[in-house]
Amino acid sequence: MSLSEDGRLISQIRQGNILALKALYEKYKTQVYRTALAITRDREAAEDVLQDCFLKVYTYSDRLDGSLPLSPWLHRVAVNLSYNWVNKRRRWLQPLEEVIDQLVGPPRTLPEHALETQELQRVVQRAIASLSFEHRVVVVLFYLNGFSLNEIAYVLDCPVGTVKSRLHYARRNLRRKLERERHLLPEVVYEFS
Amino acid sequence: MSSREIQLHEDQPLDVIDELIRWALVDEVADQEPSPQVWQNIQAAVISCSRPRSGPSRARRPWRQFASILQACAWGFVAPVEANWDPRLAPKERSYLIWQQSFLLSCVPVAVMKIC
Repeated sequence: MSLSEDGRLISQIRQGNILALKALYEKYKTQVYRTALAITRDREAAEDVLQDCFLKVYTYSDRLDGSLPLSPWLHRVAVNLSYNWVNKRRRWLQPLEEVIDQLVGPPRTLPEHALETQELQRVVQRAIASLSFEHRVVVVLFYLNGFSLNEIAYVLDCPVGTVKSRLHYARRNLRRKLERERHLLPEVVYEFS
Repeated sequence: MSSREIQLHEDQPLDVIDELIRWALVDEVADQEPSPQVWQNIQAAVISCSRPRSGPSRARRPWRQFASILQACAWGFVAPVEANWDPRLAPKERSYLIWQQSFLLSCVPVAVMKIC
Protein backbone atom coordinates (compact mmCIF):
# COMPACT_ATOMS: atom_id res chain seq x y z
CA MET A 1 0.00 0.00 0.00
CA SER A 2 1.53 3.31 -1.02
CA LEU A 3 1.51 6.60 0.84
CA SER A 4 -1.00 8.05 -1.57
CA GLU A 5 -3.32 5.21 -0.64
CA ASP A 6 -3.03 6.30 3.00
CA GLY A 7 -4.06 9.76 1.86
CA ARG A 8 -6.99 8.32 -0.06
CA LEU A 9 -8.08 6.36 3.01
CA ILE A 10 -7.79 9.45 5.19
CA SER A 11 -10.03 11.41 2.84
CA GLN A 12 -12.57 8.57 2.97
CA ILE A 13 -12.42 8.59 6.78
CA ARG A 14 -13.25 12.31 6.67
CA GLN A 15 -16.49 11.35 4.96
CA GLY A 16 -17.23 8.91 7.79
CA ASN A 17 -16.16 5.74 6.00
CA ILE A 18 -15.46 3.23 8.75
CA LEU A 19 -14.10 0.65 6.31
CA ALA A 20 -11.32 3.07 5.37
CA LEU A 21 -10.48 3.39 9.05
CA LYS A 22 -10.38 -0.39 9.33
CA ALA A 23 -8.03 -0.62 6.34
CA LEU A 24 -5.63 1.82 8.04
CA TYR A 25 -6.02 -0.05 11.31
CA GLU A 26 -5.15 -3.38 9.70
CA LYS A 27 -2.10 -1.82 8.11
CA TYR A 28 -0.62 -0.20 11.20
CA LYS A 29 -2.09 -2.08 14.18
CA THR A 30 0.82 -4.46 14.72
CA GLN A 31 3.47 -1.77 14.42
CA VAL A 32 1.72 0.65 16.78
CA TYR A 33 0.74 -2.08 19.24
CA ARG A 34 4.26 -3.48 19.48
CA THR A 35 5.73 -0.02 19.96
CA ALA A 36 3.28 0.73 22.76
CA LEU A 37 3.94 -2.69 24.26
CA ALA A 38 7.69 -2.17 24.20
CA ILE A 39 7.29 1.19 25.92
CA THR A 40 4.65 0.29 28.50
CA ARG A 41 5.43 -3.46 28.86
CA ASP A 42 1.73 -3.95 29.55
CA ARG A 43 -0.61 -5.66 27.06
CA GLU A 44 -3.78 -3.94 28.25
CA ALA A 45 -2.13 -0.54 28.21
CA ALA A 46 -0.77 -1.20 24.71
CA GLU A 47 -4.25 -2.14 23.51
CA ASP A 48 -5.71 1.01 25.07
CA VAL A 49 -3.02 3.07 23.36
CA LEU A 50 -3.76 1.41 20.02
CA GLN A 51 -7.48 2.00 20.44
CA ASP A 52 -7.08 5.67 21.36
CA CYS A 53 -4.62 6.15 18.51
CA PHE A 54 -7.13 5.12 15.88
CA LEU A 55 -9.95 6.99 17.54
CA LYS A 56 -7.75 10.08 17.18
CA VAL A 57 -7.21 9.23 13.51
CA TYR A 58 -10.99 9.28 13.10
CA THR A 59 -11.53 12.39 15.23
CA TYR A 60 -8.71 14.44 13.70
CA SER A 61 -8.89 13.11 10.13
CA ASP A 62 -9.68 16.66 8.95
CA ARG A 63 -6.33 17.88 10.26
CA LEU A 64 -4.24 15.00 8.91
CA ASP A 65 -2.11 15.72 5.87
CA GLY A 66 -2.74 12.84 3.47
CA SER A 67 0.43 13.57 1.50
CA LEU A 68 2.67 12.82 4.50
CA PRO A 69 3.45 9.34 5.85
CA LEU A 70 1.00 8.37 8.57
CA SER A 71 3.33 6.13 10.56
CA PRO A 72 5.34 8.91 12.33
CA TRP A 73 2.11 10.71 13.27
CA LEU A 74 0.62 7.50 14.66
CA HIS A 75 3.79 6.86 16.64
CA ARG A 76 3.77 10.39 17.97
CA VAL A 77 0.25 9.83 19.29
CA ALA A 78 1.19 6.38 20.62
CA VAL A 79 4.22 7.76 22.47
CA ASN A 80 2.17 10.59 24.01
CA LEU A 81 -0.54 8.18 25.13
CA SER A 82 2.07 5.78 26.54
CA TYR A 83 3.65 8.70 28.39
CA ASN A 84 0.26 9.52 29.95
CA TRP A 85 -0.18 5.89 30.98
CA VAL A 86 3.30 5.66 32.51
CA ASN A 87 2.69 8.91 34.40
CA LYS A 88 -0.67 7.80 35.76
CA ARG A 89 0.64 4.48 36.91
CA ARG A 90 1.38 4.26 40.59
CA ARG A 91 5.06 4.50 41.30
CA TRP A 92 5.18 1.54 43.62
CA LEU A 93 3.80 -0.85 41.05
CA GLN A 94 6.90 -0.87 38.88
CA PRO A 95 9.45 -1.96 41.50
CA LEU A 96 6.98 -4.60 42.70
CA GLU A 97 6.67 -6.00 39.19
CA GLU A 98 10.44 -6.09 38.87
CA VAL A 99 10.73 -8.12 42.06
CA ILE A 100 8.06 -10.54 40.84
CA ASP A 101 9.82 -10.76 37.50
CA GLN A 102 13.05 -11.69 39.26
CA LEU A 103 11.37 -14.19 41.57
CA VAL A 104 9.38 -15.92 38.86
CA GLY A 105 12.34 -17.01 36.81
CA PRO A 106 12.39 -19.19 33.72
CA PRO A 107 11.29 -22.79 34.17
CA ARG A 108 14.28 -24.88 35.17
CA THR A 109 13.26 -27.76 32.94
CA LEU A 110 14.45 -25.92 29.84
CA PRO A 111 17.65 -27.05 28.17
CA GLU A 112 20.73 -25.25 29.45
CA HIS A 113 21.30 -23.25 26.30
CA ALA A 114 17.69 -22.07 26.05
CA LEU A 115 17.80 -21.15 29.72
CA GLU A 116 20.90 -19.02 29.21
CA THR A 117 19.38 -17.25 26.23
CA GLN A 118 16.16 -16.59 28.07
CA GLU A 119 18.01 -15.33 31.12
CA LEU A 120 20.15 -13.02 29.02
CA GLN A 121 17.08 -11.72 27.25
CA ARG A 122 15.36 -10.98 30.55
CA VAL A 123 18.41 -9.14 31.84
CA VAL A 124 18.56 -6.94 28.73
CA GLN A 125 14.80 -6.35 28.76
CA ARG A 126 14.97 -5.40 32.43
CA ALA A 127 17.82 -3.03 31.71
CA ILE A 128 15.80 -1.37 28.92
CA ALA A 129 12.73 -1.18 31.17
CA SER A 130 14.75 0.52 33.89
CA LEU A 131 15.74 3.39 31.58
CA SER A 132 13.94 6.70 31.98
CA PHE A 133 10.84 7.14 29.81
CA GLU A 134 12.62 9.56 27.42
CA HIS A 135 15.55 7.18 26.91
CA ARG A 136 13.36 4.10 26.60
CA VAL A 137 11.19 5.70 23.93
CA VAL A 138 14.21 6.67 21.84
CA VAL A 139 15.65 3.17 22.19
CA VAL A 140 12.35 1.54 21.17
CA LEU A 141 11.83 3.80 18.16
CA PHE A 142 15.43 3.42 17.00
CA TYR A 143 15.99 -0.30 17.53
CA LEU A 144 12.53 -1.79 17.28
CA ASN A 145 10.94 0.43 14.63
CA GLY A 146 14.16 1.27 12.82
CA PHE A 147 13.22 4.97 12.66
CA SER A 148 15.84 7.47 11.57
CA LEU A 149 16.98 10.20 13.95
CA ASN A 150 14.91 12.73 11.97
CA GLU A 151 11.79 10.59 12.23
CA ILE A 152 12.30 10.15 15.97
CA ALA A 153 12.75 13.91 16.31
CA TYR A 154 9.37 14.39 14.58
CA VAL A 155 7.70 11.74 16.76
CA LEU A 156 9.04 13.28 19.95
CA ASP A 157 8.70 16.85 18.71
CA CYS A 158 12.25 17.75 19.69
CA PRO A 159 15.51 18.66 17.88
CA VAL A 160 17.60 15.91 16.25
CA GLY A 161 20.47 16.83 18.58
CA THR A 162 18.31 15.94 21.58
CA VAL A 163 17.49 12.56 20.04
CA LYS A 164 21.20 11.89 19.42
CA SER A 165 22.05 12.85 22.96
CA ARG A 166 19.28 10.68 24.45
CA LEU A 167 20.31 7.72 22.35
CA HIS A 168 23.93 8.14 23.35
CA TYR A 169 23.14 8.28 27.06
CA ALA A 170 20.62 5.45 26.80
CA ARG A 171 23.22 3.16 25.22
CA ARG A 172 25.81 4.18 27.77
CA ASN A 173 23.37 3.52 30.62
CA LEU A 174 22.42 0.17 29.16
CA ARG A 175 26.03 -0.84 28.82
CA ARG A 176 26.67 0.06 32.46
CA LYS A 177 23.57 -1.73 33.67
CA LEU A 178 24.43 -4.87 31.75
CA GLU A 179 27.96 -4.85 33.08
CA ARG A 180 26.60 -4.42 36.60
CA GLU A 181 24.23 -7.36 36.15
CA ARG A 182 26.74 -9.71 34.63
CA HIS A 183 26.94 -11.70 37.86
CA LEU A 184 23.36 -12.79 37.16
CA LEU A 185 24.35 -14.29 33.88
CA PRO A 186 26.10 -17.58 33.29
CA GLU A 187 29.78 -17.32 32.62
CA VAL A 188 29.27 -18.45 29.03
CA VAL A 189 27.72 -15.11 28.25
CA TYR A 190 30.66 -13.21 29.58
CA GLU A 191 33.54 -15.36 28.69
CA PHE A 192 36.23 -12.85 29.43
CA SER A 193 38.39 -13.53 32.45
CA MET B 1 21.33 -14.44 18.23
CA SER B 2 22.56 -17.06 20.64
CA SER B 3 23.74 -16.23 24.12
CA ARG B 4 27.07 -17.85 23.31
CA GLU B 5 27.63 -15.35 20.53
CA ILE B 6 27.14 -12.43 22.88
CA GLN B 7 30.12 -11.36 24.84
CA LEU B 8 30.22 -8.11 26.69
CA HIS B 9 33.49 -6.60 27.61
CA GLU B 10 34.44 -3.13 28.77
CA ASP B 11 36.59 -2.66 25.67
CA GLN B 12 34.04 -3.97 23.23
CA PRO B 13 32.46 -1.51 20.82
CA LEU B 14 28.89 -0.35 21.26
CA ASP B 15 27.68 -2.24 18.22
CA VAL B 16 27.56 -5.37 20.40
CA ILE B 17 25.24 -3.48 22.72
CA ASP B 18 23.24 -2.35 19.70
CA GLU B 19 22.80 -5.92 18.55
CA LEU B 20 21.86 -7.03 22.02
CA ILE B 21 19.25 -4.28 22.47
CA ARG B 22 17.69 -4.92 19.07
CA TRP B 23 17.54 -8.65 19.70
CA ALA B 24 15.96 -8.28 23.14
CA LEU B 25 13.39 -5.71 21.99
CA VAL B 26 12.35 -7.53 18.84
CA ASP B 27 12.12 -10.81 20.69
CA GLU B 28 10.09 -9.29 23.52
CA VAL B 29 7.26 -8.16 21.23
CA ALA B 30 7.59 -10.80 18.50
CA ASP B 31 4.31 -12.57 17.69
CA GLN B 32 2.39 -10.10 19.86
CA GLU B 33 -0.85 -9.01 18.27
CA PRO B 34 -3.70 -6.91 19.63
CA SER B 35 -6.91 -8.76 20.43
CA PRO B 36 -9.87 -8.46 17.99
CA GLN B 37 -11.73 -6.70 20.79
CA VAL B 38 -9.69 -3.55 20.13
CA TRP B 39 -11.18 -3.04 16.68
CA GLN B 40 -14.66 -3.80 18.02
CA ASN B 41 -14.18 -1.10 20.66
CA ILE B 42 -12.98 1.38 18.04
CA GLN B 43 -15.95 0.56 15.82
CA ALA B 44 -18.40 0.96 18.70
CA ALA B 45 -16.85 4.27 19.73
CA VAL B 46 -16.90 5.60 16.16
CA ILE B 47 -20.55 4.62 15.71
CA SER B 48 -21.55 6.24 19.00
CA CYS B 49 -19.56 9.36 18.02
CA SER B 50 -21.33 9.58 14.66
CA ARG B 51 -24.82 9.42 16.17
CA PRO B 52 -24.94 13.01 17.45
CA ARG B 53 -24.07 14.22 13.93
CA SER B 54 -27.11 12.49 12.52
CA GLY B 55 -29.58 14.32 14.70
CA PRO B 56 -30.60 12.87 18.06
CA SER B 57 -28.89 15.65 19.99
CA ARG B 58 -30.73 18.21 17.89
CA ALA B 59 -33.97 16.45 18.71
CA ARG B 60 -33.15 16.83 22.38
CA ARG B 61 -32.29 20.48 21.98
CA PRO B 62 -35.84 22.02 22.18
CA TRP B 63 -36.47 20.19 25.44
CA ARG B 64 -33.18 21.51 26.83
CA GLN B 65 -34.11 25.03 25.74
CA PHE B 66 -37.51 24.73 27.36
CA ALA B 67 -35.94 23.52 30.61
CA SER B 68 -33.45 26.41 30.58
CA ILE B 69 -36.22 28.93 29.95
CA LEU B 70 -38.27 27.50 32.81
CA GLN B 71 -35.25 27.70 35.11
CA ALA B 72 -34.55 31.30 34.11
CA CYS B 73 -38.20 32.29 34.55
CA ALA B 74 -38.32 30.74 37.99
CA TRP B 75 -35.16 32.57 39.02
CA GLY B 76 -36.45 35.85 37.56
CA PHE B 77 -39.78 35.43 39.34
CA VAL B 78 -38.44 34.45 42.76
CA ALA B 79 -35.96 37.32 42.97
CA PRO B 80 -38.51 40.22 42.63
CA VAL B 81 -40.89 38.52 45.03
CA GLU B 82 -38.11 38.04 47.55
CA ALA B 83 -37.10 41.67 47.12
CA ASN B 84 -40.72 42.74 47.70
CA TRP B 85 -40.95 40.76 50.87
CA ASP B 86 -37.81 42.20 52.44
CA PRO B 87 -39.09 44.84 54.97
CA ARG B 88 -35.57 46.32 55.48
CA LEU B 89 -35.47 47.79 51.96
CA ALA B 90 -36.54 51.35 51.23
CA PRO B 91 -39.46 51.62 48.76
CA LYS B 92 -37.17 53.08 46.06
CA GLU B 93 -34.67 50.27 46.44
CA ARG B 94 -37.45 47.73 46.37
CA SER B 95 -38.96 49.08 43.16
CA TYR B 96 -35.49 49.26 41.57
CA LEU B 97 -34.86 45.61 42.41
CA ILE B 98 -38.24 44.55 41.10
CA TRP B 99 -37.61 46.44 37.88
CA GLN B 100 -34.13 44.92 37.54
CA GLN B 101 -35.29 41.37 38.17
CA SER B 102 -38.27 41.74 35.89
CA PHE B 103 -35.93 42.93 33.17
CA LEU B 104 -33.85 39.80 33.68
CA LEU B 105 -37.01 37.74 33.59
CA SER B 106 -37.68 38.94 30.08
CA CYS B 107 -34.05 38.98 28.83
CA VAL B 108 -32.55 35.78 30.19
CA PRO B 109 -34.83 33.36 28.33
CA VAL B 110 -34.05 35.19 25.08
CA ALA B 111 -30.32 34.99 25.79
CA VAL B 112 -30.61 31.29 26.68
CA MET B 113 -32.44 30.60 23.43
CA LYS B 114 -29.76 32.42 21.46
CA ILE B 115 -26.95 30.43 23.15
CA CYS B 116 -28.69 27.08 22.68
